[in-house]
Amino acid sequence: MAFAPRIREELTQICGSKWVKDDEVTLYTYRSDGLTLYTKLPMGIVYPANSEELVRVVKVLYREKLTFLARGAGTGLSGGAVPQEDTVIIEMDRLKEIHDIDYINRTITVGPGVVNLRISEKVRPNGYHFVPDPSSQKACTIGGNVAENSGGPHTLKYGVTVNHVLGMEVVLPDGELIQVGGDFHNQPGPDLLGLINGSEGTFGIVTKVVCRLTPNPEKAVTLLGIFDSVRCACDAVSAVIRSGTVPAALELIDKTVIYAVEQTLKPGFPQDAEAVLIVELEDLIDGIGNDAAKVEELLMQNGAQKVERAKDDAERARIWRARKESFGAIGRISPSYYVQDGVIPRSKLPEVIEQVEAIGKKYNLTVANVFHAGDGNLHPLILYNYKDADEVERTHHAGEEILKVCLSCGGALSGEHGIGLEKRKLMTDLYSENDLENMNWVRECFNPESLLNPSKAIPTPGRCGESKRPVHISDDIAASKMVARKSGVAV
Amino acid sequence: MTTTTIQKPLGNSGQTIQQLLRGTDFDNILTCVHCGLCLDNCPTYRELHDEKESPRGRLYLMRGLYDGELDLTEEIKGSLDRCLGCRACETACPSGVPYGELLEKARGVIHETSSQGVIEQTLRTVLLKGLFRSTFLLSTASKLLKLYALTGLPKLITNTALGKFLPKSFVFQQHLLPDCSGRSFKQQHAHDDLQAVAGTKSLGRVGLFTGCVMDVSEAAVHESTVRLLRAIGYDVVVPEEQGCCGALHVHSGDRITARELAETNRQAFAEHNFDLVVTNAAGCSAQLKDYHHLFPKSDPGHNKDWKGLSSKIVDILELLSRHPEEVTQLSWRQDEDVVLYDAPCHLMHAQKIDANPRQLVNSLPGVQLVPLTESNWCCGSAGIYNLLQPELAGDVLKRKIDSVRETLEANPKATTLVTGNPGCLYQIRAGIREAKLPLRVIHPAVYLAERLQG
Repeated sequence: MAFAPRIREELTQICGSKWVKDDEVTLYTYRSDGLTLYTKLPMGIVYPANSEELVRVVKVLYREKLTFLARGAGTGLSGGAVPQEDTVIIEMDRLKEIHDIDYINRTITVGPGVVNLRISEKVRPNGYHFVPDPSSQKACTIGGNVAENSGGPHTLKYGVTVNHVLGMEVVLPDGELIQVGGDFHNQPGPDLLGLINGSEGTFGIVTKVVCRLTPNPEKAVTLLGIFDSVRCACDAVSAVIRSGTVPAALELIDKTVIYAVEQTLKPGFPQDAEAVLIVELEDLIDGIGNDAAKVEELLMQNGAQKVERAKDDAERARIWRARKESFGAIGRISPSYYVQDGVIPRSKLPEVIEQVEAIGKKYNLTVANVFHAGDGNLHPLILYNYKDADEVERTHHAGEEILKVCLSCGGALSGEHGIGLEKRKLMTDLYSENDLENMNWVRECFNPESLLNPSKAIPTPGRCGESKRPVHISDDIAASKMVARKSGVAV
Repeated sequence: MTTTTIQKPLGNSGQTIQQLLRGTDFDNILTCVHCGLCLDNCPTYRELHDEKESPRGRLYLMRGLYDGELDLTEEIKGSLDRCLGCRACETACPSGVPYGELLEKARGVIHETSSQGVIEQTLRTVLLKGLFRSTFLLSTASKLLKLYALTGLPKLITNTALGKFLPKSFVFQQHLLPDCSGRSFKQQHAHDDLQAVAGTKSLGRVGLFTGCVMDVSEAAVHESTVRLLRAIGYDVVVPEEQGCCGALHVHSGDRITARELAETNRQAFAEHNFDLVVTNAAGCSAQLKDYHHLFPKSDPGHNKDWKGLSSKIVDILELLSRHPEEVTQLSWRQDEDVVLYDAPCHLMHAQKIDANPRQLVNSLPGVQLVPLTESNWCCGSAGIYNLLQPELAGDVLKRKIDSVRETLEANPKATTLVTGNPGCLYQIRAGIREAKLPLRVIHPAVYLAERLQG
């Protein structure tokens, strides 16, 4: 822990003494990101002001053979920004510049530290937005979005981050600065953009991103289907998809999550419902009425008790805030949660959800569900008490079992949160040794010595089964049980 | 989980930090699930880019203390001290973490167990334990400052080359000086008969909370508040026995003095049995509503009737907005005006009052209210934060003034900015004076009273 004095001196010369930190309190606050199940203290934190400083910092770290990773807002849910032993964290929050906005070519060029939502806020007065809208969009950064190839509710219709990034400037682990893609589509050669988007910060560090701007829809209609069974809600999802209508977003929220969001965000969801389905349609004014009526009918046919239509923008905003911030609202009913990100064929939704519930029961854990139903991307939230060692252990097992169910029905480990730390060992269940070896070869082209964000995403050959777990958990659980008791939900 | 050994534990009261925190009903620390949605709304994170200068980072440190995983160190104290307490993170938080309450409790425990620097100690003793608690001292200080302003020295320092030879923070403090009246408003009006304007339908009888600094400065704010209340049909009483609300004490961790002030105010208002208690300072009303947080179950004051006071506290603009009919029937000026608005953090974030005051001002004939582009961000005043952390407060203020400039450019007709909290009033006014922008900064109640005819 802590920088060697010689290295601290050199980093200080690059960034200034204010922007190189390795005191124990700072390190403590950087020991986890949005995934709190794993923690590890970094060696130190460096805060470069621009890409020039960043390149120089990377060159020093590379020369010294130190491991390092880039971190934005630390909202990731797979531990992508959690350090390993003696890893240096490069905080990207100062690279917040908005460079050029080009409305003719519909692009905006931003620094990696720019917060996702700020892009849309910036261009909204001119009638545009940036499509990827991960639920953490009011805090997460564009650099992190590229790293995880983030999705969000509206990617059902419009695609994920990689579909909305046209070019990037990237620092490779040895400090070389490269340009990938450009200001417009159809750059010749292999699709390096596609390769780097979603590489979970293991191929390079982006320093500039050319984002595609999309015109705002002429009209949006948000429907809220209220169901007295999760199964019916899942059936309704399949019915909507089968009908050929492509909603902009199709989201399911179950009873436990409804309870949590009603405690704080108060969107006005009925608390006696087993599930609500949010269906958002975006289209031209002339076309949207028919679609909305059709979807309403489909929801009713599949057992909805009632379908409500948001009457104005304020109500839409309330519904979406509740959906997008529902993970955070879980704090009302449990001191910690562990969210899974498995993807399954949409046709399997009803049975998988039932199996997830059974796994929760088996391990005596509450599993809440709020997810992107339209593209079969599940987010089971396992609620646990971080001070109860046994419960933490059961949480790990339940999480693993849920993912194995996803895999067994032809699904995948992650839809948008990334493999990161905790799902690495399950990669062998999905891919052959050969597949993984090939992935490693590709990564070695960019990151030959594995100095950049080591031990993430792809298991190291021969050590696929390894995983680290927190060892010491205090036995004092009374206080955290209080939160659960107050909420009235069994956690 | 890695345990961190930290050197330099501060002070020792016989109990560990962990034990002290657990004595303060601190369980809500567990409602933070580390999602990070607060980060981009935090003024200090925006300036310092450091996780430990963010709400999530500070909560994580507090949780570390609460769990006994961390010892209190200068670094932890520093991180908590640098928080403005604007509570914008509470507005952003999906889980409803009561950040302000937790921060204040943690600061209370830290105050109990640790020593402070000389400057901080002096400022706190002179201002918090002395000045703000005594109407006599406040009136005297107000008189002296009034005389000082009459000498023309503050203007000389800020407007001539003299300022260049003096420390920057001292020059800025000249801009910060309130408009002192030299006497106490409550003493002056304690025995006045401030009845509702004849002919109005009686709405009830209210007490006016006058505060500490506001009691001896910016007399127009209280005068306007009383005038508006009487105009719509309230009888107003100004109890003389009331004192400072104690917010500044709570923010700096001095909960003992704050409890005394809470009791003073509870008694001062309880004996009159008012229908409502009206305030015109967002920081004070937020504090008056939260007195019960000061008394843990173990404290003898815990069972007193704090709800009796807190349920009656209402901000003047919020109260006016509850009486749209009465407000509409008043005789308002008709000329057109654009007025800029800045939301005080302790109104918007701490009390969740935002749309009503804006709609009220905007509903006046001829008036168009335009919120600043960053109306929901802190201005850096934060009680006496601007005196304790001048550099960081200056950076935060600079953002606010940039936002004022941007909004003014888009609305060049505006000549007035309103904000409903004394700290913000002084801070933004100082920033605007320093930047030489053509705007006056007044309390919205004063603005309304100006538009009221007859």
